[in-house]
Amino acid sequence: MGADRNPGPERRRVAEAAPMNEHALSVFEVFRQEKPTDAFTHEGSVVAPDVDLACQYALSVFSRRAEAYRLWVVPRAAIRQIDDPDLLRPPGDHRYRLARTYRGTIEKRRKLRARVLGEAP
Amino acid sequence: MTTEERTVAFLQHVQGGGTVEATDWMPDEYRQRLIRFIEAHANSEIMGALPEREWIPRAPSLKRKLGLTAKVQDEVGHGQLLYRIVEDLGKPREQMLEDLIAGRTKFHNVFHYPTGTWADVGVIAWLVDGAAVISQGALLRTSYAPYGRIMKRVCWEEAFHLKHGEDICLTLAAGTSMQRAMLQEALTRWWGPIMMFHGPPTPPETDQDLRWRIKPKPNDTLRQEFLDHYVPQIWELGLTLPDPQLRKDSATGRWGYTEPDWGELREVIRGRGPASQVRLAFRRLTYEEGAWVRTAILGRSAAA
Repeated sequence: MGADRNPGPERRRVAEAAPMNEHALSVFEVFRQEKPTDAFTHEGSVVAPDVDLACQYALSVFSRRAEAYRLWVVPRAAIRQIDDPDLLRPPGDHRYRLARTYRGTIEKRRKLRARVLGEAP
Repeated sequence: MTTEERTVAFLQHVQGGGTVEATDWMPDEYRQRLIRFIEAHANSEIMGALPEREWIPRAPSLKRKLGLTAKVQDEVGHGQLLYRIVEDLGKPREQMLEDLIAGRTKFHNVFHYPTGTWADVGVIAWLVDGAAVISQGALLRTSYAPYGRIMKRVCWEEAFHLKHGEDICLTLAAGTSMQRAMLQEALTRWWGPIMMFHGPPTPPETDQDLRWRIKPKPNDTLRQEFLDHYVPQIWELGLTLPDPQLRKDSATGRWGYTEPDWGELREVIRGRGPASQVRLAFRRLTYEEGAWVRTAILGRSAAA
């Protein structure tokens, strides 16, 4: 969110969100790929004592309808989040990196085509 | 910035449509309200599985048994997803399960009533879940983003519950006179609790969950949406609803109805509904019988 942000969040681990103080359970984030050509999308998370059981939970919570081609089960502690707007959306105009900035080519091409036709014998 | 200034900025952010993540700073009041709201939702999912579970062995066909089993599994799965969200906000799962069986936390009014016949299963899946999807659809736009993201999956799975329930009701409506009477009788019994489902018409300006945009729509708006969508479908089947005042005002577009007994709602959600104690006793029994599984899992993690 943009209303407030703790200083230096880019180096904060996502794990800090969850005070998993109970026993020795840890959080595993689950990502789902629907078709082989799709990107993986974050689906949710499960809590388990180890990755094997986390995989069992992920199967039963996120793929009861054959909606997953693959699942990724990742310890939350392994995820590093970058959410610093100064890094993600630095000041300055970056439109020169986008195709739509070069729409003027249509007009340039039109003019050039007319000129070439005009020069033709 | 002082805490007050931060809180004002936070409130403006959520009221202006902004969202919040688990890792963001949030006022303690917001966190406590989220925990209470989402925990009650999670409790309702797992308590809601109980009345339907009773009918799995008595389902009239293998197809219905499979459908009902899948629905019960979904509800428990939704409970898992929601308890996870609350754990990330700081309340341990063990504590939530213990608070539930001790009657310290709440679950939805409709799960405090008995399910007398197979028609109840159809009415619950079609209309109770129908009312729930109206609320959950609105929750897609909650200020707490992790909650909203989970609602996408929940709503997707609930779509099957509604159709499964509607199919049961339509089959009974097209059946023998006994089946039709059974459906009408279940509908008449459930109408009162269903009309209370979205809660009393709290003025939006005093509803704190609305103020923090934990829920995006007022209770009465949700009830109007529910009536608008389902009453015509019910009447179309030649069924009647036990409220002589129920009708849509063609000028305002709003449904009029007899005011539900909000005193009954308060009593019921405090654990004094007709099936409250039986359901909680069963949940307690399951929790105690499952203790060895938790011990085994924690033993495994201690050894790992």
